[in-house]
Amino acid sequence: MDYERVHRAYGPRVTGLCRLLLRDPEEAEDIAQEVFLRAFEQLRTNQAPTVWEAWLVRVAVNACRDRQRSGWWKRRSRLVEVEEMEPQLLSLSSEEEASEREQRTRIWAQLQKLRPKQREIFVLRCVEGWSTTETAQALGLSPGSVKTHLFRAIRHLRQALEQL
Amino acid sequence: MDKCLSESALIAIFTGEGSPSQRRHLDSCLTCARRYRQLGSEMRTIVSVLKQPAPREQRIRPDSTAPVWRWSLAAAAVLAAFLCGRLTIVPHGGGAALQMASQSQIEASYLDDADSIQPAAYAANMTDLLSPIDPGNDLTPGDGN
Repeated sequence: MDYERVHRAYGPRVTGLCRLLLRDPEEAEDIAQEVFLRAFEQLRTNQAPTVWEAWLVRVAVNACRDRQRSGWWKRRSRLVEVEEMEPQLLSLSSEEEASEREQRTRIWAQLQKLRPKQREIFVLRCVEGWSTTETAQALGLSPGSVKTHLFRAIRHLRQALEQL
Repeated sequence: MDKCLSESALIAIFTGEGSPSQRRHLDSCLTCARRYRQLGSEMRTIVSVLKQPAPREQRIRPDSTAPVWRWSLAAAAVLAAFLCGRLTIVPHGGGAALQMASQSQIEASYLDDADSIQPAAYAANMTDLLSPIDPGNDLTPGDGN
């Protein structure tokens, strides 16, 4: 498989994964580019992985972890909820739309409150649709640990909907 | 299995990890089936929301709390060090007690000295003090040529 096909096949997925893990679209784009640069290097040196999907996700998760661990990232920002709703949108939206909007905000806020490992496991298991074994192998954890983290993540995320 | 399923068991079934006995109970219990449908609905909502772009309300803002915490901790450490230093130097009872004790000791020593001076010796000392040091250079009035 050549680089163009790898990028076309997995680009949006890797970017989406980074966006969920980092919660910053610009940083997610940046990390996704790094991931595909490494993929390009793998192809150039004839070390292409047998399963691209697993390799890309593993590299993306590790790159996101590295970014979050960096002192620069910690100093740079913290995520806060800012009520910056556009006045025009607010006036035009119906009650149902406002409720949906609040729900989205709450779910994203709850995702941000998850511990990094819980977030990674939830995203891989429930959003990416990986199995427990695949997730455990990709993250270097035991299947039991994956189940425990997943249960805590789901319970935490469900609270976002209970509050509504 | 007669007992209703726990939340963790429902989540395990939802993620494909449940045991056969848990699945059998789910098939036979209306309450658990309702709870399971609720879980499935919530999970679908959560996943569909997370597959969409993040809402506009989520923004990255500069972290303004971290420096405040750091300065507060530094100030607390300095204060603690200062207090520890004071407590090790000043004996139990505080500075005022120490000052009062010192004052009373000084006064007592003066009183002791006063008692020890005899009247005759005191008079001799006073005479020595009042007598001119060099009679040849006495500059008292009415004595000059």
